[in-house]
Order: sequence, then structure tokens, then C-alpha cells
Amino acid sequence: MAEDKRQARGIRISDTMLKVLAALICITLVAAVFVVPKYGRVFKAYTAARSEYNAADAGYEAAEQKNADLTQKLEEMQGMKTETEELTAEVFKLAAQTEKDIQAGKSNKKICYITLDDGPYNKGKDFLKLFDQYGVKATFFLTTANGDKLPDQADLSAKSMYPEYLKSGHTIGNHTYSHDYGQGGIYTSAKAFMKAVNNQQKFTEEATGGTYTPKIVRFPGGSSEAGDNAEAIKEALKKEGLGWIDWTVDSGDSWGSDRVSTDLIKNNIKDAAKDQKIMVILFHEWSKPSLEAMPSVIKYLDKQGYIFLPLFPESVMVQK
Amino acid sequence: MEENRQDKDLKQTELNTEADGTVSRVTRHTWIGDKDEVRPDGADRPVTRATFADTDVRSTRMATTRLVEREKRPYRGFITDEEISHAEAAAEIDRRAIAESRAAREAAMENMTQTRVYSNIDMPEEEKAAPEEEVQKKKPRKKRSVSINVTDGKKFRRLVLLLAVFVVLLAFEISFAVMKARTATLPGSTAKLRSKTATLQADNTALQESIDEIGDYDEVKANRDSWQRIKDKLAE
Repeated sequence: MAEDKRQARGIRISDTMLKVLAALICITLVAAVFVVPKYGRVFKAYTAARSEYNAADAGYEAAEQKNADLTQKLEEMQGMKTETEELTAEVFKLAAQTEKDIQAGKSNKKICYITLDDGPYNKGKDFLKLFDQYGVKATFFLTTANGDKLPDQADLSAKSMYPEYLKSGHTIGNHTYSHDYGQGGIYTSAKAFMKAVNNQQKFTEEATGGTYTPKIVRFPGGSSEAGDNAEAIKEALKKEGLGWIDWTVDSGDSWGSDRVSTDLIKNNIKDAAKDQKIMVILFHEWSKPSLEAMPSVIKYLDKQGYIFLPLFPESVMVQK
Repeated sequence: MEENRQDKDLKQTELNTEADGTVSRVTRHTWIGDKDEVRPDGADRPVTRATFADTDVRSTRMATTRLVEREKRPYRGFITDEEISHAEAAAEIDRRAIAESRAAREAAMENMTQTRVYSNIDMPEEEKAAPEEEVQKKKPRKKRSVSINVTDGKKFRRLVLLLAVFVVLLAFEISFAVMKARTATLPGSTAKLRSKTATLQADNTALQESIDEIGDYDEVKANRDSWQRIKDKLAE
């Protein structure tokens, strides 16, 4: 019985199978004889090719991953940009209504338009940083009186500053190309003034890659400097579809950095804030005292309930 | 002994028949002389040459028979009919014993065959169901196969080793073939991949430029948030 069991565990191989197996082994052996001498060379070539492929694959994967990341980022940023544009339009619409309500005595809200003239200056970056910090939107009336150079940083192009203003949602206004309001300057005729305005418009468009055209003009020195030609100039601006604006509060910084203190600026604004529900404050981008006073001014006005807005063409403060 | 042997033809009798029934063996019974064979059943018969021949061929009978001295009797001449029938009866008994022994051996062989692994597994149904006569006519073809028992460790180890060598060699050659083929195709794939990477990189550059045009991600987000706050203030 035990013998039978042992036999039952046996493996039975037919002669044919045995012959096939033997033939296969022989073929394999013969093949191995041919393969062995070449194996090293082929292995080396394969390893090198594989290594190159792996490197290319890694590069491709990295590029693909980066592409996915960038695509996602771009989509997100485009979404945010669109959202911002929609929000801006809504804000201007609301602000225009609020201004009317304020003027009609229907609203207790207060609006402050901070404006900075004579830029771009390299100091403008410091103002921008401050405004970003406090979430303040302002208006920069720019000129090209110093050519395509920053007056306080001659090695930097003036054009490079323009996108910076727009990035943070500020408004760029036209302060004429030459800013020359002396004798024989821009106020000699409406034509001369409009030439300076149009040149500045062109420069702004160039600087912003054609994405932005100013809609508001500020007269260098104020509209009062235009003298007898003021009405003709205003008419010409209207024809061009441009609005203009002066200011309701002068920070006083135009007297010069040496002659104006931060306290004077703060006091000027505090005084104005007592009875103005819609303020247009005049600052200058080159003014160091204004830059120093700005945080205190913003904090004070914010405490007083002012909402900081950039100027927009539909504002009641913009003359058309 | 030789002198006592009386060669007398008794009778040619068919005493034995082979199991297959095709060959008859005619045995010449010749008196040996003064000995009788006493069988296991107690019967006794005169010892003849045929008895001796059977005894020599089938040694097993040695255990069951014994030869005894025959009582001295005068020469009888030819063997009597009675003695012939006596011898035939004894031969018949022999035949039966042989048949029984053969049947037992065949049964044992059959049992052994049935318990073997793979035995008759591949046999077609028709063959299994073939009539017995046909099977008997056709001599069963002897299967030429090599049986290796697990218990036979040496043979088994050799087989396993042989198979292992075969598998290793095969794997070696397959890997060689695969490597050779891949070496031929990899440069093409690498070039394609590099081309695709270059396209992707160009696309990435364009994407980055688009992103740069929009501005810094954090600044754009902060700008949007500040507009949202202004809107909330105005809408209060």
C-alpha cells in the first residue's frame, strides 16, 4: 500500500516530451553560446539608451507637471482678473450712486480720493507699497516732463512704472506730456494743451502695452492756471471724451519737501476732513513728507469712515 | 538412477494449455522409475519426466510436492489405462494450480496499474470502451515513458536542476532579446519624448509670459480682495 502511494507521487514523462525538452534545452544552450559574448555590449548599449530615455522622461514629466501647474495658475489668475474687473465695475457703479446720495444728503458715507501728481517717480513704489498695505486705491496723474526716465532714479525707465500702478488697481490720469505751464507753455492755447494731453495719452498707451487709456486729466498747477483758455481747453477735452478734475484738499506738499512737514500735511487734511464728505486730496509723488505722512493720514481718514477710491470717469467729482 | 529409468512412451497427452489459449503444449510423460509424486491433496502418481520438467520450471511446486520411494514392483511393461488416467488427473490439478497462480498474478498487476499516476488518463473513451475480445486480440501497446518517483530523490533533483538550468538560460536569452529590441527602439522614443518636452517647454514659456502679464499671483489676489472689501463698505 505504501509502495503504491509512493508510486502515485511519481512524475511520468513520455518519451516525446522528454525529447522535446531535450531539444529545447539544446537550442537554448546553442543560443546561449551566441548570446553570451554579445550580452555585455548589448547590456551596456541598452543601459545607456535607457538612461537617456529615463532622463528625457524625467524632463518630460517635469515639463508636463509644470505645464499643468502653470495652466492651473493662469486659469486661476485669469479668473481672479475677470472677477476683479467685475468687482471694479460694481464698485464704480456703487460709488457713483453713493456720491449722489451723499450730495443729496441721503447717505452718511464718506469718500476720499487720494491723488498724486507729477509721477512717475521711483518713490511711487513706496506709495504703492503703502497703499497695498492699507488696501487703499488712489489716482496717479502722470507726466513725461522728465522723458522716459524716473527723475529720482535716472537708470530706470518711466514706462516701467505704469504697469505697477495698474496692477494694484489704481487709476492713471493724464497730467500732460510736458507739464510746462509757464509762459509759452501748454496753456497758450487749447491746441497746445490738447497736444500735451494727447502725447501723454500716447505715452501711457505705449507704456501699458495698449491696455490702458486715461480718461481723466488734471491741469498742471490746477485748472485755474489755464486762464482765459480754460473754457476752450475744457471744451476740447470734452470733445475728446476726457474728464478733468482739480482737488478739494491741498496737502500742501507742493511747497517743497524742505519747507513742508508731515504734521502740516496731516493738519491740512484733518481740517478738510471736518466738513468734506467727498474729498479729493492733492499729493505729489515726489514728496517725501507726503510719503511719511501717508500712513497717519490713511489711518485717520479710515477712522473717520472714509472709503478710499480711485477716481473713475463717472464720479461726480470729475468734470465733463 | 539412469539405469532405473525406463523410457516408455506412455501417451502423448495434452496436459497443459497456455493462458492465452493459442498454444498447446504436448508433454511426453516418461517413466523415471521407482519414485511417486505425492501431491498436496494426498494423491500420488508415478514420477515422469514431465513432472520433473514442471517441477524445474515452477519451483513453487517444490514446496507443495514431495517425492517418495516407490515400492519395489516388478516390471509391468506398458503403463495401464488406470495409471494414464491417474496421470491425467494429476496434470489437470497442475493446470488448475497454474491458472490460479496466473490469475492471482494478473490481478496483482492490474491493481498496481490502476494505482499508478497518469495510468490510462489520456486513453480515449473509445479505447476504454473497446470490447474485451478486441483488446485481447490487439496486444496492448507498451507505453514508452519515463517514470520518476518523488521518492527517487536523485532522479528528481536531476530533473529539477535540468529544468532550472533551462529556465535560467531561457530567461537570459529572453532578456537579451528584449534588451536588443529596446536598444533599437529607445533612441526613437527618447527623441520623441525630447521633442514633446521641447513643445511643452515652449508652451510653458508662453504660459509663464501670460501669467507675468497678469502679474504676481499674490498681488492679483490681494487686489481682488481689496476691491471686494471696498465693495462691501460701499454696499453696507
